[in-house]
Amino acid sequence: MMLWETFDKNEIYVLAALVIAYAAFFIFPKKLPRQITLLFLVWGFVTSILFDFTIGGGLVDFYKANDSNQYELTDLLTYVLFAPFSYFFVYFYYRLQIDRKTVIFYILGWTLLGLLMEKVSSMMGVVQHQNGYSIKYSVVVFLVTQTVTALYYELIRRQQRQAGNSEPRE
Amino acid sequence: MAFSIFFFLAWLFVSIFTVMQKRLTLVENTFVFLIILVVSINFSWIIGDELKWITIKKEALPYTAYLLNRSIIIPVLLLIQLNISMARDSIGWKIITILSTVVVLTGANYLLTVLNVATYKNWNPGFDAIYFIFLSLVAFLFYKIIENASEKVVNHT
Repeated sequence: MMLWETFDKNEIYVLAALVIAYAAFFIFPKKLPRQITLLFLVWGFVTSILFDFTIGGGLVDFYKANDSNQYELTDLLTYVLFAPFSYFFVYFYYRLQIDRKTVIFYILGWTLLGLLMEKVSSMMGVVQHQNGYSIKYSVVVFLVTQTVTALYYELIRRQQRQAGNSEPRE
Repeated sequence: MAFSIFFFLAWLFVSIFTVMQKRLTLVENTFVFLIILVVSINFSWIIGDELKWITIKKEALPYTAYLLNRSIIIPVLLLIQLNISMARDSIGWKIITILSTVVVLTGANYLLTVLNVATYKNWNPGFDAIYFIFLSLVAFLFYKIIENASEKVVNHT
């Protein structure tokens, strides 16, 4: 494990994105319970690690994160960057009162945002596709992860309603 | 062969977890699962791909068996252990459940070597057992963290 191979544009991009994403996390008023906030921060962090170590490494190795195939500190910071995005997915799901009529548009909107972020990350050298992989396959990854996240959040809400816990804090 | 065995084990442990009576809530179970998953993935990557203490066969089906063990069997079995150990307050009960889980997980890792999916170089089952005891403690610690984050109102009478 190393810090980074060379400190250049991908490291600067990751650090700048971290500052912006976590500043937004702290600035936006907290509307979700502490447990839900903690859960979905970890959810985003783990999802990025699961994909990177399953299809981004090992046998298929569809993409390289940052400077090398070795584990770098910048890789870890990149995974940490996904945590607030997962949180904001659930946060705005709640704030915008997403329901059966709007959930498909909501997921498609986040998928477009994800693809845009991946394109920028690719230009900044954070992600480099390889072994026949291209950004169009990421549509599948974003649709699956975001649909699962939305369904899981709905499941938690339903269980909490049944348990009589008042979920949102206003 | 390895794929079928580890698929069966993954199915078995997920099924047991699904039907068992759970002491943790959905949020607590999910949180602990995610934490164990992230430790398991990172640890296996560091000792395998970075330090080369263990080598994994780079063929599709054996490699999938290794992934099933890393990403499903280890975290789900630790969740089962945590839910069972929370059923009683006795320290002895908790130690027995942890040791039982460590034996099963160490056995599953040993099975990977017997089936030629993994080859131990600078590693042995004793280190596996220590690692799984550590992982059990991590599960317990993070359960306490998410439990303390709960905003449930408790009525003391």
